[in-house]
Amino acid sequence: MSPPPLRHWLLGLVLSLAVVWAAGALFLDTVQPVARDPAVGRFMPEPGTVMRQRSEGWARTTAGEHGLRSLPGGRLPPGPKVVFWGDSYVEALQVDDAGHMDQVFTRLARRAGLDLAGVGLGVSGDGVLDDLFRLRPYASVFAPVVLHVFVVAEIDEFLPDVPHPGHGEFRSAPEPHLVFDTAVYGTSHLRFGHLVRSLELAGPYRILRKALALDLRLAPGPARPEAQPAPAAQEPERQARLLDFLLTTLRSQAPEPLLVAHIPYLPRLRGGVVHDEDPDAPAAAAVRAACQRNGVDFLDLGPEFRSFRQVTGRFPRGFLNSPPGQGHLNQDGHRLVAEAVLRYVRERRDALLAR
Amino acid sequence: MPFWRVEFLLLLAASLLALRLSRGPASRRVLLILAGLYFYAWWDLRFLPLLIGAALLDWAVALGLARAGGPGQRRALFLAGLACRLGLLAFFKYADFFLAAAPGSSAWLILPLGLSFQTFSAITYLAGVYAGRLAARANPLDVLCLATFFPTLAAGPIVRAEELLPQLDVLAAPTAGDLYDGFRRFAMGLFKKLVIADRLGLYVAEIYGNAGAYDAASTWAAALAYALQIYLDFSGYSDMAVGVGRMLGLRLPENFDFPYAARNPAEFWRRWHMSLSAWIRDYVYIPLGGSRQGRARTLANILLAMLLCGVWHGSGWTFVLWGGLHGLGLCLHRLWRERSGRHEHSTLSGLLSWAGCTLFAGLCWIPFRAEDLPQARRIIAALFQGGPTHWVHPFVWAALGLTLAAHLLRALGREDALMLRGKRWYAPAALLSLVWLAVIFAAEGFTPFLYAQF
Repeated sequence: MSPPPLRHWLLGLVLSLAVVWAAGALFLDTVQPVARDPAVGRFMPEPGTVMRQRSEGWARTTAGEHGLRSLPGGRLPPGPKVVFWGDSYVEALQVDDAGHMDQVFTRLARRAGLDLAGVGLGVSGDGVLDDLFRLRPYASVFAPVVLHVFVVAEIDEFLPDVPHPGHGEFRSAPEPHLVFDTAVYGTSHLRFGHLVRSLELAGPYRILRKALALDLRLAPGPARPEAQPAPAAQEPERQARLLDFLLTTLRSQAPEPLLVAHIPYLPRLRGGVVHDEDPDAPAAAAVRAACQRNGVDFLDLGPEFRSFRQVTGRFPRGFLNSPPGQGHLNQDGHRLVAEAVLRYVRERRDALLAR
Repeated sequence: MPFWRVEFLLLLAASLLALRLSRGPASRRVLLILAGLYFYAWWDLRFLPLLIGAALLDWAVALGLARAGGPGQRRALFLAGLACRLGLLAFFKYADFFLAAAPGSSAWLILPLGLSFQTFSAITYLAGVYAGRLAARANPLDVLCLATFFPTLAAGPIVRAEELLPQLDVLAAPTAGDLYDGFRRFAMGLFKKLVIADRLGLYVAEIYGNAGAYDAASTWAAALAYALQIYLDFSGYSDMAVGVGRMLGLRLPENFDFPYAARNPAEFWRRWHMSLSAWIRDYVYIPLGGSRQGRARTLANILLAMLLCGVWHGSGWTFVLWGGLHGLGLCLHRLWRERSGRHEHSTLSGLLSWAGCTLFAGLCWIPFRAEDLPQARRIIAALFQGGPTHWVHPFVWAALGLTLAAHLLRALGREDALMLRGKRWYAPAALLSLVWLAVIFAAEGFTPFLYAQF
């Protein structure tokens, strides 16, 4: 078969790029352009940009003031607030704005007669250590704050010596200390983010990123996987001392009440059976005990998640395009967190609202 | 070295350039051997001596066959060569099954890449020389070139010595037409494998891994998804292998011809993994007596051939069951055809036959995919009464729609348009789009070709 002439290849290249553009715009997660927010000294999603999520869930979220998502009208409410800190679980790109835990909390609180607004500050990849360093810069942005809620899915965020490049790290040696690294966004993201988002170039951008991330192995096999060094196991007493150091430091960053809301990875399907036990239970128990010693409340969402599945048969995680019980919180999961935090607030209503 | 890795594309580009610049088929065969050895060593250098040693053994046995005196000596030599090849395959493929049966045993063996396919191809050489269809090669490089031919090294198609060796003897530099035609097949295979099959595989793994927890609709969707996954994975691989062969200037046998368009089990096996089913027909079924020794013996031969086909896929009972089910299906179809005779299908009977055959093939994939018989049982039970959890990934419907549309186009006589054969101005646009989409939507992580494990 003779090959097509050059003009057909040139036309084909143009048309195929149009296909890439359309497929990327329809089926890829949008790239989020970021801009430096001088009020808090960090890069955050540019206010007004809409993010579409396709890889998990099928949702649209909009960045508002200071890059915060799901703010009604894009503006921070003026009154007293409950701030939800966290990572991609709070950022919640998988769920439409109205279903985010902070927005559900606001609606439920208003319905309960509480003049409180929920605000979510979640950035994918962030952890408690990042939040610790952000509490002070955000103090004037969020004021007045009634309660800081740290939504924690990975309990090992509290453990020392877990490498987390581009984020806060907790190191145990020589003396316990915290390190903060803010180099989250690559230069290409900062340079091309606006262009990629405004021209809907998610498809070509994905190709470029894959090309740049190519990892060639030309040597003969077998390939040996790189062994990841596991964090050194700590003696219980030493672990308690390290956790005390971390929580004392966290406690000292803000005068408002602090609450750690742990969202364990349950219930989940494994081997055809629904498992209800928390795989991180020992670490969670240690963190809970440390929280109690250091004036930080601890809320375990495990019982809510378990009873929700037992009553409805549904899971708090998983979407139409991701397995039930896996991945990020779905709309049910966000509502369960919001309800649990609201219960916590109502039980301590006088103490919290008297401030 | 998976075909979609950049390392492979670099190897292919270097091979094509070297073939283009080299003079004469002999030097091109040496280049192909070097490329094949690198292709194999990239996977595991430790098994390279095995590959070369087995090829040299084939060469020596074939030379011995050519020089042997009487038929008894030839037969003994042929059987010895066959025993060496099959013994090697059996050792690596099945020793684990028996060793693992010992209590407390943790022994395990790595199956050398593509050993099954190389063995079958080598047997065609030995059998060809033994039967006098092929001349024994005096030059060991000829046999080494057959054994290390990298487009088919990992998972076929099972290329016969009589198909490949004559082409290698006159191997010319690749032409622009070869390159385009090969690229056309390669791009189609890449899309099938990376975009559709691998994504279906994620869904299938979740439902099979939790057999019995998902409801009947989800389990039916997973059974359907696996039928699509294995077809698109293996036919995608075969498209790439045939395409790479074509780029090198060689014509390799086809492996698939729209198998889910089949209306009976016999037709299914004429369309599914065609190089294997033809090999089994010629080297197992016919030597057993084929259909020449009465009905009972014919049925027994069919059943035995399909059981061997099942066992070839793996040493588990699930593969025995799969092969046995297909053997039974073929036997029943043969009996039915003997009773009712050959006849043209009406539209309705054609549709019913197609639906029945597709359902049969789809259900047979359940034991094939299951890790063991209890898992297969749980999946089959869940088809009728599953658990409380429901999840059907919308991508399953998209993949089903695409596959149905492709089959429909073929049924309407538009196969050339579908396969972008002939002069079509939009072919480059379609092919480049398939490549870009494969880059963008390739599932994360390493997902080897399903048939590379057999």
